[in-house]
Amino acid sequence: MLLDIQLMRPDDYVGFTFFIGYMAMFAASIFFFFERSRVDDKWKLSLLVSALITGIAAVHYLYMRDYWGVHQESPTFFRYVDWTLTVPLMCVEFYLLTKPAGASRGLMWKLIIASVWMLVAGYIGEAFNPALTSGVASDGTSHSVMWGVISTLGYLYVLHAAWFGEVAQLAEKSDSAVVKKGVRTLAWFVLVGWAIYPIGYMCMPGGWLSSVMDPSMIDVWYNLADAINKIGFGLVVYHIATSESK
Amino acid sequence: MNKFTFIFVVCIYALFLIHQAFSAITLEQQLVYASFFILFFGIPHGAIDHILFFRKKSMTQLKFYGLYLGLIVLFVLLWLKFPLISFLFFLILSAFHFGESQFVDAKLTLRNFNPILFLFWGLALLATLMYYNISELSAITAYFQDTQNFGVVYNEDLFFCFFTITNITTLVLLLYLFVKNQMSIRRLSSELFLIALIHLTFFLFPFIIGFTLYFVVLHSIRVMNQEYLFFKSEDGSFGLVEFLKLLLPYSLLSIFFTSVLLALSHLGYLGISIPFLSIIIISVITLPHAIVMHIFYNK
Repeated sequence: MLLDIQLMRPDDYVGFTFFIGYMAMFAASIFFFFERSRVDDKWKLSLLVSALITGIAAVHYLYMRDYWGVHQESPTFFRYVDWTLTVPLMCVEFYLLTKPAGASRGLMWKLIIASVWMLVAGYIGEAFNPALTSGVASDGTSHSVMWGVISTLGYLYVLHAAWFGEVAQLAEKSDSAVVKKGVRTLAWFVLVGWAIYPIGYMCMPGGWLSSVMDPSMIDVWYNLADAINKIGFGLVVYHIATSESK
Repeated sequence: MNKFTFIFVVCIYALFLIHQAFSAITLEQQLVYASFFILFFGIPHGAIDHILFFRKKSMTQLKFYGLYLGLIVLFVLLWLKFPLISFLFFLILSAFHFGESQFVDAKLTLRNFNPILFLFWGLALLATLMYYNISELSAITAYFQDTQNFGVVYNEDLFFCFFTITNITTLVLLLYLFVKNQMSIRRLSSELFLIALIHLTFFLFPFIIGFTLYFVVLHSIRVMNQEYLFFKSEDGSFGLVEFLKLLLPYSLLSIFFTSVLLALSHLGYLGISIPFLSIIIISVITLPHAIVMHIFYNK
């Protein structure tokens, strides 16, 4: 069994952050799951969704950690599978938090569709880039720009909804100051935390930002951002749930 | 984040993708696109100075137009006689004006403190723009004969000091306002985010694109919104069409005269290069506009 364990170099920061990410997500899932018993019934589902987000991510990080260990290459496939499941769940959190203020299921589905749209387009842009087969970075420019534009539209929809659209308006209507503040904090996560993903997209070989940020280091940023975004999202929801349950 | 910052974020993403599609955008292309946006968004934001002024102060029309145009003529003369001093004066004036329009809705009550904040916020903005693009600026000014004099100010150490001092001072001033309960944590975080976003924009994009993005979205459109809301507060039935009608006459007049001057410069009749002429035109219309807006914001 021990013979199967991959050797990790001390300067393998990508591998290091895959380990950290996995353990942090795993610990966060257990935390959110067990803390469900301490909050009022109306918040239990929100905490379960938080536990699911970090739990799904933990499983994928386990795979990605091993994938990286064996192949030493970016696990794009697993990463997008993870995001396609967890990001819509983050959007569900917006719905659950604003439901008492009158959020409809239609809002939830719009946010889910926008987030899946964003991720599927991003995956096509990144994984099926002609530059990957030809080896010439410029071959993939038009492909990555086109799918980048399509993907960004989904992101901007979620961003707009969280800051000015239905989600923001419902949060303002909410009787609870904690919910208002919490939704605003989650909107900051979407604005700042999620920005790492389009930035990472543009750091692909041949991408405009590849000269600004080393593409080989993008996995480190993805791993740190994932941990902060997913656990942070969950902690904000946890804070709202515990504050409102007192 | 307010709606202008949101528009700014959308523009940044759009420009990211445009840049990715066109690996290099030439200086000429940048100038053409920037001119378009500055003419059609920048000029209109100052096109109703006369209306705003008369809403706040009483003066005869003749006296107002005499003073307004007199300031323009005086500044043109100053430019022709002392271009470097005029340029530095223009930077300081613009800095104050940018800062004032940024914080006008912040309800700051420390009246003596406010001008310092406005000035440093604007100076930090300009210092950041110039510091991140110093080599590009040097190349642009060195390219034209009549802008070569400005080359003396392009010293990297000097710019670094200017950049560091203005940015740190601005941060300290914002924190001071927060400590003194003049600014909420929400407003402070929005301001800090905006500063970070401006740094990112000026760092990543070429000088002209970075400045145009700020000037159009975060300054001109924002000021036009303030003007629109002012008229709306006076008359609830005031709409966008009425506002556009107010903007139109002087915008068209300014765009026409600016285009004529630029065309004359292009054809070699004026003996002034287009970039130098553009700076002069922008600065001479900024001077009376900044004074009118100061009166508008403070009355």
